[in-house]
Amino acid sequence: MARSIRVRLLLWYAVVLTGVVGGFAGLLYSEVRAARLAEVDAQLDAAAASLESALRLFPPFELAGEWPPPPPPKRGGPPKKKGPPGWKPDRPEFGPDPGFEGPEFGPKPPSREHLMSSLDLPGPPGSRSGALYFGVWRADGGVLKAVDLPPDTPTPTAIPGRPARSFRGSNRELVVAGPGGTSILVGRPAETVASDLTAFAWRLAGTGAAVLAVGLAGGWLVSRRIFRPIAAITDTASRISADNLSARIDAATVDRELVGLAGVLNAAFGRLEAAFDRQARFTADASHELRTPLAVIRSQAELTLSRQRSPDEYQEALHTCLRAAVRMADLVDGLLALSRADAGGSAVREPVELHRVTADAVELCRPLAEGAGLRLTTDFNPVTVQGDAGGLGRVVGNLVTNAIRYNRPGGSIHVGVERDGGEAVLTVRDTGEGIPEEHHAHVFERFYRVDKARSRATGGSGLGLAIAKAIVEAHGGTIGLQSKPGQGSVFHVRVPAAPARPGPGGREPGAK
Amino acid sequence: MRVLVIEDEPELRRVLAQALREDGYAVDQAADGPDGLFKATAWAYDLVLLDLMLPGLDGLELLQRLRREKHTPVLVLTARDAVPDRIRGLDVGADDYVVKPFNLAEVLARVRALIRRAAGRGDSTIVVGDVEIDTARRAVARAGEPVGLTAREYAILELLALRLGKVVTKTEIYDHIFDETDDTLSNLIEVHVSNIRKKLGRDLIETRRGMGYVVHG
Repeated sequence: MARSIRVRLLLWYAVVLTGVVGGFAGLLYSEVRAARLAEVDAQLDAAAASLESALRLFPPFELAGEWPPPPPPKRGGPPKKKGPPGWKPDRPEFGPDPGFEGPEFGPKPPSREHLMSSLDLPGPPGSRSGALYFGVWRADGGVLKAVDLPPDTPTPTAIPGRPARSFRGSNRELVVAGPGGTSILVGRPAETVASDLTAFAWRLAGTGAAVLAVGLAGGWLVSRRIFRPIAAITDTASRISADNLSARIDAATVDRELVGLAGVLNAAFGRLEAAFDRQARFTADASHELRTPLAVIRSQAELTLSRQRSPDEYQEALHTCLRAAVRMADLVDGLLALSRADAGGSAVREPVELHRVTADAVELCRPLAEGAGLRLTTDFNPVTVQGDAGGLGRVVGNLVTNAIRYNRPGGSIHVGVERDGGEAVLTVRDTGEGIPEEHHAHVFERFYRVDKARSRATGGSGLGLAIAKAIVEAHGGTIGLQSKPGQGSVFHVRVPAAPARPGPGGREPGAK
Repeated sequence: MRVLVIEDEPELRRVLAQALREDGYAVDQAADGPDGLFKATAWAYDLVLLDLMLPGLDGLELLQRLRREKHTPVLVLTARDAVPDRIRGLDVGADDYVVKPFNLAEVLARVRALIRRAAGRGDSTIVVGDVEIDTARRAVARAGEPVGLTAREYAILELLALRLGKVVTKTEIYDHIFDETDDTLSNLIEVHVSNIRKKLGRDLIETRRGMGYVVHG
């Protein structure tokens, strides 16, 4: 299944965008919630502070829930019971006695009623801002005063210096320690805050979803724009065919990020075109090389048949035809070897004793060398490679034949095989004219001739070195040339050697 | 008629030269580009047979340089048969184009046609008075009766007949009839002319003293 980069890109984009939008909305929500709570808490703080300051005016025994100091003798009835409805003082005999407030005791302390009524929040009951309620407990746990307190409120325990804020149900409450061990609880319903926050959260979610949708739509459009140049590159690449290899991606119109890709593709197209050109030139050259001996055979036969000839003339004509036919056969053989090597060479990969294969091939060439008056010397050290013995023998034969063909009269040829580290090295050295530097890069090309006139006369097919190179490269090796005009040439073949034989019991070294 | 064969393949060059000689041409040979260009510019050939793939100097390059100096008819012989190659060869100045491997008889016919055309003649038969010269068959007849001429006699007659009304010097005859390997004395031309006169009548070839010979149409 073809995976879409565009879809994956968009998915990642969606994930990141969701994270960003969600995180931002979450942060905003918590900030707003904290601000709203701070507002409520500030109101509760103010209320608690006002209650606390009112409590400071109370005599300590009232706050501690202890008996007041013995009252002075007095007249009058028992103290009136008082308190808000629903509030039952657990100590009916409590409170300052009216007789207590005598002028003879200095400044008259505020009356209990006054104190109790001052212990309240600003504003009339029921209309207090935010429907505040509160309760004040004495140190012994008894309720001093409670206003609008929800009935199920437990007795709070305040720790001095540590105001406690909490939610009870939907109410926000603050518990602080008042003077004399009292506990003050101030609370207010926070339903409006909660519902406001919920509405805010929904608005945030809606906005976030809208932003996400717009972002994804934009991302889809942007990704289409991003993939447009890739589509253009695809288009160009699809126009490249065997008929038209010259098309190239215009790197000037491609975005910076794709210039590398365009460059790589153009380079590949260039190599492809060069390979096709080489192939076309090779085909033309091969056809030329085949047509020439064919022309000799045909025209010689036509000429000979055009009139009566002497037996000598017929014989000479047939020799000419035979030489041309042999040349064609050599050429066809070479072309086949080359195409086989191009196709990866022989599949045979067996241990080959390079020194033996080389010795055999050199012996086959020896009559040719001696016929040319050349001295042929060898120096073989045993080395084994993985490969095809026939192909490697052909490499040796081609190099030695070459060395014979281009040697000077009375010259010599030296063939060596040795191991150099992990490589087997075959060296063929001649004492010929040498090859000028400018031809070094080309001598391994098919049908390349350093000196056309000379090689025509000596009868080479122009394929020997190309075949050698193809076979060596099919063996994972390299072939190289060292030569200077007038100093002869040295061809080196390097092929990866098989690991050295473990024991000396294998073959006798130095086989010649 | 004298022809230059520029071909680097020795066997093919030899076969072509032999075939042309057997057809009565004087044939020179060149094995590479520079030698071919030198000979083609130095001598007055009636035709050049040119291979395109030559060592030393490419055939097309040779043709271009030759065309700066001479208008010798050039028949290109090549193994390159692609249409662009042919077009290029003809554009550069080749008069005809034959692809290897060729039919030898066809090449010889084209050689004749090119030489004839260069002389400004369309057909292969030249008629002078009651003498009829068939250049295709290399046969001569007088009043409808075939007349046997030697190869040299025929070559001289054909040369003069192709330049009808023009004076041809002995040097020119020498240049066109003998190739570089011949070592014939020039006075032999006079012997050949006298033999032709014996066979075809005294008036056919007129001698211009100190200048040469002319055949009047």
